[in-house]
Amino acid sequence: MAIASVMNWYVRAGGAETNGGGYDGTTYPGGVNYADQDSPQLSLSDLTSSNSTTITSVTGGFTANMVGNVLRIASGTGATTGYYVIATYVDTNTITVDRVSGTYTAGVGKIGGAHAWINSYANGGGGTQPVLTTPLVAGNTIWLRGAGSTDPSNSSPDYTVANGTNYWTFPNGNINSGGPIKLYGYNGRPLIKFPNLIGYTTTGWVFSNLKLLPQNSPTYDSLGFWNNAGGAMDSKITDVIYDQNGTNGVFFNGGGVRITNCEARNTGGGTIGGYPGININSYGAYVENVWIHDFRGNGITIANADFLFNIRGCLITNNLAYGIQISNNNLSYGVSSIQNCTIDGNKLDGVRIAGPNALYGVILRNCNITNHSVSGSYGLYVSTDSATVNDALNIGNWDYNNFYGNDSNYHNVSAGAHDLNVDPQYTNTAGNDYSVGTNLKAKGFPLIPIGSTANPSSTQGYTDIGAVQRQESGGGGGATYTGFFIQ
Amino acid sequence: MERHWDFNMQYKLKVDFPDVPAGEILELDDSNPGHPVYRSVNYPYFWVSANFIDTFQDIEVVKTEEEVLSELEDQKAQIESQISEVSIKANKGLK
Repeated sequence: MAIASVMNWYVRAGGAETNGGGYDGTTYPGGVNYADQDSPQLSLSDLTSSNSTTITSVTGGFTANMVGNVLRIASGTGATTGYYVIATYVDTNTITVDRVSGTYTAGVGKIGGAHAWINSYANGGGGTQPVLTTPLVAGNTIWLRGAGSTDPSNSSPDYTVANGTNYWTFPNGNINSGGPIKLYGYNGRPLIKFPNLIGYTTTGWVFSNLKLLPQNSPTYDSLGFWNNAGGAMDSKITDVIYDQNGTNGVFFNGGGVRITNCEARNTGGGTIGGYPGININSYGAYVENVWIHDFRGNGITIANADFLFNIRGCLITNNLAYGIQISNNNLSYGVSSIQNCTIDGNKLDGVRIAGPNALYGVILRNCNITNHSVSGSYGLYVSTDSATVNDALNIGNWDYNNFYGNDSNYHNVSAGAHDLNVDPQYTNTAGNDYSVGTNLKAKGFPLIPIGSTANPSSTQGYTDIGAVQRQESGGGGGATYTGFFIQ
Repeated sequence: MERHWDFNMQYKLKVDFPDVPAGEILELDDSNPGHPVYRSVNYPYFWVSANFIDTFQDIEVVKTEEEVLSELEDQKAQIESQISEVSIKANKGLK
C-alpha cells in the first residue's frame, strides 16, 4: 500500500512538522482521528521492525483507535523515514502499517498531532525545507485550521510566512487519477499572512475557505498566491478573501482556473499603480460571483486569454484603475463573455477594450456599468479604430447593458440596441448592497434557467441587469442569491 | 521507500523561478538523512526533493550519474597527482 488518495492532512497553528499529521478513516476504518489536535497522541523512540509491515515497541501504548492515523518515523538507523498509515492494531506493543519501513530497533516516531504549516507537503521551492519528504499524493485533502472567525482581523494572522525567499512547490493533483489536492480552511477562515506567493509550478489544486493577506514583495507581487509560471493551473478557487492590504499584490495571475464566490478587497489604501484583482494571462478562466473592490489597479485584466474567459455575476467596484481591461484576446478557441456584472465607481473606465478580437469575440451583456464619473472616464472605451469599424465588428455582442453616471458612456463604439441609461437605484452602495430598483426590473437579456419566461420550470420570470438580482416578496425578482458577498 | 532518483546527477532549471534564473544548476545535497534534495548552487535556499526530481517540471538533466562520477574520478586523480608531486618535492627537500 501507500498513502491513499483519500488521506486527510491537518495543519494547525499549534502543530509541529514532527507530528503524524494525517488520518485516513476510509481505507482503514474504525479508528479515531488524532491528527486534528496540536499534540501527538503517542511519541515513541524504540520502534522496531524487521523489514516487514509489523512495528513493535517495548514502551508501547498503541490502541485500536489509532488505526487510520499516520505514524511519522523521523529517524532510526536502518529505518526508511517517512509517513506510514496504521493498518491494524495487534496489541499495545504491536501494530502493522501500510508498507515496509526498514529494519531497525530504535526508530523515533509520532502518531497523531497536526502539522504547523503546509510546507510539510512541499517537494521543492525557494523556502524553508521540511525535514522529511512530502507525504502528499493526488486526491489528498489538507485541512487548515482557523481561529473561528470567517473574516478574521488582519492583525491576527493564524499563519505567517516571512518576507524573503519563501514559496514552495508541491505535488500536483491529478484529475484523471486520484483527483485534485484540496486545501480547505476550517473552523472559520484561516488568515495567512505571506509575501504574495505560496505555491509555484503546482497544478490541480482546490483552494477553499481561506483569507489571504499579502505583504509587499517586489518579486512576488505580480504572481498571486498560487502560480504556475505561465502554464494552466487546472485549479479551483472558492470562498476565499484576499485583502491587497495596500500592497501591489494581485490575487490571481494565470489561467486555467475557476474562481467563484470570492472577495478581493483592499483595506490598506494606497495610490493607483498596483496589480489587478485578477489577471488572466493564459488559458482562459471562469470567474463567477466574485467581488473585487478598492484595488490599486484594475479589477480584472484580460492580458492574454488564449482560451475562453467568462466573467459572470461579478461586482467590480471602486478600483483605482479600470473595472475590466481586455488588452489582448485570442479568438481561435471561441467566444468569451462578461455577463450580469455590476461595474461601478472605478476611477478610470468601467470596461476598456482593445479590439478587434475582443469586439468580435467577447459578449458583454446584462451589465450595469455605472458611476465612472472622473472627468475623462468612460463606461465603455474601445481604444482602437473608429465607431464605424467597431460597430461592424461588434454585431450585437454588446447589448442589454445599462450605462449611468459615467462621465461619458461610449468611446469608439455605439450603444447596443437594447442598452439603457437609467439610474440603477442601488439599494445601499455604502453598505455594499448593489441590488437594483424597479428601473432595471426584467430589463436583462433572458437567460435560462435563472430567469427566462421561456423556461417553464422558472419561478422567477425574468432577469435583472447587474450582478445582484432584486428580490421581491411573493415571487418575482431575479434568482435567489446565495452567494458570498458580505453585506 | 523506493528510490526514484539517481545519485549525483546534475540538473538545470529550464525556466525562471522567483529569485532564481533559468540555467541555474542543481546539485545533490544529501546532508539531511532520508530527505536528499537537489539544491541550487548559487541560490542555496532553492531546492527540489530528490524523491520527486523525476516528476518536477521545468528542469533538465545536465550530467548523468556516470558523467558526474567520471568528473569526480578525474578530480580525485588530479588531487592524488598533486599530492604525489608535493610528496616527492618534500622528500627531495628532506634529502
